[in-house]
Amino acid sequence: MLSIYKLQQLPDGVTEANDLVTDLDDAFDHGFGRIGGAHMETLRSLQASFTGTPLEEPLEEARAAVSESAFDPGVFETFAAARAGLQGARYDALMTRAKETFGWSHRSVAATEPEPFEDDVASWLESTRQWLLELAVAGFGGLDEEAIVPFDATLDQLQSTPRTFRLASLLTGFRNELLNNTPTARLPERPARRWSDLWSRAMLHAGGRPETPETRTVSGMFRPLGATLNHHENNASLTVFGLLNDGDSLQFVRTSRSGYKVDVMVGDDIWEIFSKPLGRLLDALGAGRALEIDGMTLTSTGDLRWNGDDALSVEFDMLDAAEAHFAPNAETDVKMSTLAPLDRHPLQIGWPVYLEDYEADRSTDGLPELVFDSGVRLPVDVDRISPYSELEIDHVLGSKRMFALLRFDGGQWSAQPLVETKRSKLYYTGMEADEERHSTVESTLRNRADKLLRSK
Amino acid sequence: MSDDRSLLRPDPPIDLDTPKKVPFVELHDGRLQGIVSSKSSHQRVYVSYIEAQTGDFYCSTNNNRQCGGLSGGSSAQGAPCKHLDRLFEAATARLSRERVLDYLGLALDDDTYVRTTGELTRRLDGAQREQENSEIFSRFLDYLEYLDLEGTDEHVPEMSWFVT
Repeated sequence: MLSIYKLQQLPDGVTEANDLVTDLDDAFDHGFGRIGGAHMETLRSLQASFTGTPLEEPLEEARAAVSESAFDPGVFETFAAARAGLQGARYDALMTRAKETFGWSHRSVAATEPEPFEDDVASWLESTRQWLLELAVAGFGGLDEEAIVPFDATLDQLQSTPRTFRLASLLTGFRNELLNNTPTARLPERPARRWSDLWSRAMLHAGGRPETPETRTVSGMFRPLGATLNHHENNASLTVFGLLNDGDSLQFVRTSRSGYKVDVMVGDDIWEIFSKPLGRLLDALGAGRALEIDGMTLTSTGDLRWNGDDALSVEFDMLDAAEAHFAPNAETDVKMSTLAPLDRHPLQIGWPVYLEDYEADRSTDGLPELVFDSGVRLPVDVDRISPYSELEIDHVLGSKRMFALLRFDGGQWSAQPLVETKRSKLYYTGMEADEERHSTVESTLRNRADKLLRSK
Repeated sequence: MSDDRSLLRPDPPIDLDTPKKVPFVELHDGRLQGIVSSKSSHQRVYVSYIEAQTGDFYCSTNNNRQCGGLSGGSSAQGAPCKHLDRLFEAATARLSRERVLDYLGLALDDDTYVRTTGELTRRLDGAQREQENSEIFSRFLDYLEYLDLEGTDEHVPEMSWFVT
């Protein structure tokens, strides 16, 4: 791990851009409805940082509109776009540093234009933009239940079709989180960065469908190398990472499944959402086996759409496979994809790395970290380990090798373990995915509802 | 939390046993309300609520009969039954205790520490007040609709923000 020290110093501009984002977040927390001198100054700095770009003029107009309290969704779309631009620039600089550190080449994806949504969706998006405008005017620090609940009718519509799944899952999580924290004025500390992130992303999405990447049809051998679980009260998402060999080349890809749930569906019940559509993929993940796939769609962003045309194949060692291709400076010809341009954000950095020659221990603040032979420390990303994953912090402590995603948040790099070994046993999310799980929650809920219905 | 972090630290998992006991609980429309399973009969569920500010409460069976546990109180105002206790417990387990008490209109300092639902409704000076349970029931059915919504095989980068 000779080169990992390179992560210690952040690339030029990353901190400066971060400071500007922080100032802007403060304006969102405060509310544009009663914006003061300091926040107007922030908007001027924001405009200055986009001098000579297509956003310069819209930012000037937006700032003038805010100073006259002439709010419309377009004003806030401009701020959302500028904020996303800053986060995207941070993403680019950090990704370049990650690649320098670990010695990789990659293929990039050309930008595509957002497509307009169909007419029925357009009116839901308009209501969404209006709601987001109202949040920004009130400020995240001034929200009560009445500011949030009226949006539920629109949210119901966005949830009703998978065409708007991405926006709906984002807004559902955001809405729940805001509501659970009302009245927000009383919170001792508000996560202004996080809420501004969610707000900006929603605002941009509500402006048009996220770009559709180019696709091609692939067949060949897929070897799963790990998985991540994401969830809030009403949605859950599983992403399986792996190597795809289509006969011509080897590519690092991911395949995801996301669905809706009720808040009490947690733990094993979450797997119910994935088991039917993913089937043998979960068997392969649990058993550490490869899969032959036949005619699946692969996007230029490296997303494999799992269609079930698969057959279990040979067993392999997940960590050995990861080591062969993702150890620093490994001699490999694995192709990497890049994110769609609109998705660029430091939170989306997830660079695959195989790590060894470290001691996994608790740092002085009690959080797990990897201490490399060179003395360099890399925190373990505890914020990304799902409480419902089979992989636990205790497995990280005392581990000797791991396959991880290099992450960035809160101004520092960290490692999110995907697969690790402790006392020669592998631990990873999905290691029990091949075992039969018995969901009780869904049947319990339906059964209770039946009782109520019968008595009516 | 540091002010430039996009992620929250995940909460520890909630008790998996609660959905069976309390299939549905929410703070909505000025009430803590929900559905509570009967311990004695598998055929029965209760629809229960406590109103914020007034502290008024009610509990009835699936066929809209008043819960027998309500009349057990010695005062004229009646006293909450064990189903309301369980509803309150489930709410504090799934949300935070602070959020629930705050929603119901109680100040949060040590002197007003509330242990039971009886103490809670007494503090708010609430009384038993009959209410049709159909509205709460239809909220429960709406909630169950989440289980029928269609998912996607598209990658959802937005979910990266959520591990809670």
